[in-house]
Amino acid sequence: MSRLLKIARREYLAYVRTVGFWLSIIALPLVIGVSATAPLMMMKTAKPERLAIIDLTGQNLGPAVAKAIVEDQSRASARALRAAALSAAGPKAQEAVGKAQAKGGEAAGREALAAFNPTAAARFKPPRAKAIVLPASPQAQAAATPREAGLVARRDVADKRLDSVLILSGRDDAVVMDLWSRNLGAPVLENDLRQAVSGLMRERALARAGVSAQVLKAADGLKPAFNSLSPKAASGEKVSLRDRLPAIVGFAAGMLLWSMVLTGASILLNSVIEEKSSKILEVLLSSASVPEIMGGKILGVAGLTLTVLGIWAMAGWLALINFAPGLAGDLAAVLLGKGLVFYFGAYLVGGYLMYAALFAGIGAFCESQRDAQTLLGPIMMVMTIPVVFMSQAIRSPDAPILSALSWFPPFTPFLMPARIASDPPLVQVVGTTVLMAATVAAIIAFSTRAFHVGALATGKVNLKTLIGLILRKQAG
Amino acid sequence: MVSAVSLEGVSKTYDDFHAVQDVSFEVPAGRITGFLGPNGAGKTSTIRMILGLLPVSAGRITVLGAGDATKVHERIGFLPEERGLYKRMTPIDAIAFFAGLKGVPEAEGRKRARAMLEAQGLGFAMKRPIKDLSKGMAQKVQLISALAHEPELVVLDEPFSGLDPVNQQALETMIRDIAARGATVLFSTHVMQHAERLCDKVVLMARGRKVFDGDVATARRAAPRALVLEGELSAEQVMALPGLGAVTSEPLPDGGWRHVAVLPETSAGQDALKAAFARDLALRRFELKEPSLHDAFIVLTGDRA
Repeated sequence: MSRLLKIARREYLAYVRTVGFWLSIIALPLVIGVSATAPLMMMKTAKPERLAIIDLTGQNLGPAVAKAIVEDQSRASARALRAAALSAAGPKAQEAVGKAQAKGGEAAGREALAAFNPTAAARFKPPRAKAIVLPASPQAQAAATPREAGLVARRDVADKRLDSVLILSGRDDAVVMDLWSRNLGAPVLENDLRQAVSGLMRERALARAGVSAQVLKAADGLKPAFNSLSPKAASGEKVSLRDRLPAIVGFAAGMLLWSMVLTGASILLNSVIEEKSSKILEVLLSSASVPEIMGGKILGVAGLTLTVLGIWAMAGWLALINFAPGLAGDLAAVLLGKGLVFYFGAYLVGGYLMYAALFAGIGAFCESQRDAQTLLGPIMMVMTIPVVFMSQAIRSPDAPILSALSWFPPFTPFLMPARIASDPPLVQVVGTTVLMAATVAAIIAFSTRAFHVGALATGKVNLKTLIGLILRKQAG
Repeated sequence: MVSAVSLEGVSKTYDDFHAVQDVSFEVPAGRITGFLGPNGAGKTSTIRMILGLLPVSAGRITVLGAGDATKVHERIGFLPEERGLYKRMTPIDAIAFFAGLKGVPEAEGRKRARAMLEAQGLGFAMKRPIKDLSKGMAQKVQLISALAHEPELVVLDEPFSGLDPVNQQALETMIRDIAARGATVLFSTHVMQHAERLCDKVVLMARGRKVFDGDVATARRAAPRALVLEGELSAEQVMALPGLGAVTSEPLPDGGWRHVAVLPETSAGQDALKAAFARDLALRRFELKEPSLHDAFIVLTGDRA
């Protein structure tokens, strides 16, 4: 085994044997999982709001609002079933479920999903109702004015008998809504109730103007038949989820590359600092050349990075196959069918080498993390810029500024994957890759020199003296 | 005598600072050579140039017959001045790793590490993380790391620094053992007692220049012998004695004075002793003191130290 590989193996094993490494592997998916499921969990576990409506309008608005709330919950349940169909069995299942729902309601929708994926149909649970409408107390029903009703509502909410009380007063075009709620920050039902009352006011105003209920219902149901078409779509016309997937995958890949490069480069930096501060670097230099030491360390940490990436990819793939097989198939088609996995791989290698070599070279001048912070501050500021632009690439991957910034080698490894949805011209792909490769070569040459000078240097070094030390022609 | 290391007119310059100036010396093969000098004398820079870690600004260095030490680094063992090991590694892994970098197959490296740790009484600690070892133990582990590939040339930069007397003694024994198996040892120190006990040859450096190159006995002769006189006698009385050079005096804690008089090469000191008796001086101690390497070091480095 060559010295480079021995150094790489030591570097890899030194980290992979630590508890911290395995915790860090679990940490990110855990954070992502918690952030993704937390709102859902909260929705599922949240108790429905106990709502009472006191109607002082004399226009029977209260029962109509209660009916609108129930209908809204029914529509939310239908939407959730269609989303589950899309996730579990793809767009055709979603369409079939939608048609079945229109004909036979929720039960028919479930049956339609079961035909595509019985497990998903059996697992499906409709979202919990946001509210249940309870009858107002006799005192509230006896109230003649909004003030009297308010006093009763205040008491009922304060006593926790109810979570919210809606008092409707006024008439026709001047309906007043007073919502008493236990939730001071953001009443859960506020928006839903506003929309329901607003819809009813509109409906009644149109009725007063002579528009019949049938016409109004028909008008509300009017929707254009919308087709999203693109010459870049796989079908040549209609845009499907698979066509849109590259934009999402590109953004995710850019972010993943960014975090992997940053993580890998940081591990490398810490490793070099440890060896520099304990003078191990000097012993290594007496046993191996600088390219062997740097190459071994970069390769070892790359192995770590790939281990993390491999474990995450495996876990993600298993999750997709189990919970969203349709999406898993589309993702595989996008990554493998279009060869994007190699496209992303090339930028991952380029980005990692660029930043890892730079961090290793700088680390050789640092005795502590504090020294490193001084030297790395400007680099970290530069590294935050592509993050800002990557999120814009989802909506406007063709934006001229993104295209221009892609040519700046420190940004290339992150922005080019994020722009994949725009199918960048070959000249840009080749040009930016060549420029990135040249920059990687220049940085490796610079960092190799820095590593050698830094490993034997003593005392504190700032950015100015670091560049001076590297550029200074060593006598001899 | 065959030389393991040869320096000819070697200089090292950092911008305007001359760390090493026109230094030439030989390190005889199979012997222990002490590389002495005060802090900042240029010892570490010279060692780094010998090892090929730093390029020379001028001159030529030959190591084990090669003009570039990096070409023969598998035949060299090196212990740097400030020591450290991978703290989470076990001694056996660390020794096998460094031996591996010098070309020893892993299984052989582990076998040698086990044997050497056992020989140094560290068998019980071979699988403990290095961070759990005492400083002396870790020092031994690092020295074993520098020796496990059985180098022909061993370069030790200030190997005794930071060690307690017991571990210093153990390290001296290890250095003698290295030389006993035929390897060349070059070690730097500014503590003369170690060099005096261990070295066949010493090279003294001060302010980047070589000030002495020879055996310990010759080095000692660079400093004058001295007479030590203690008792109830004044400096004037001592200076009046025949055959003595300059006198330095200091009071003793229990009363009286301690005078140290330089003894010229031509004088044996008997005349001064006879005169002291004849003058009935109140002498409690009269001792002829041969110069030590430390005395020679002071004289040779002089105001360069």
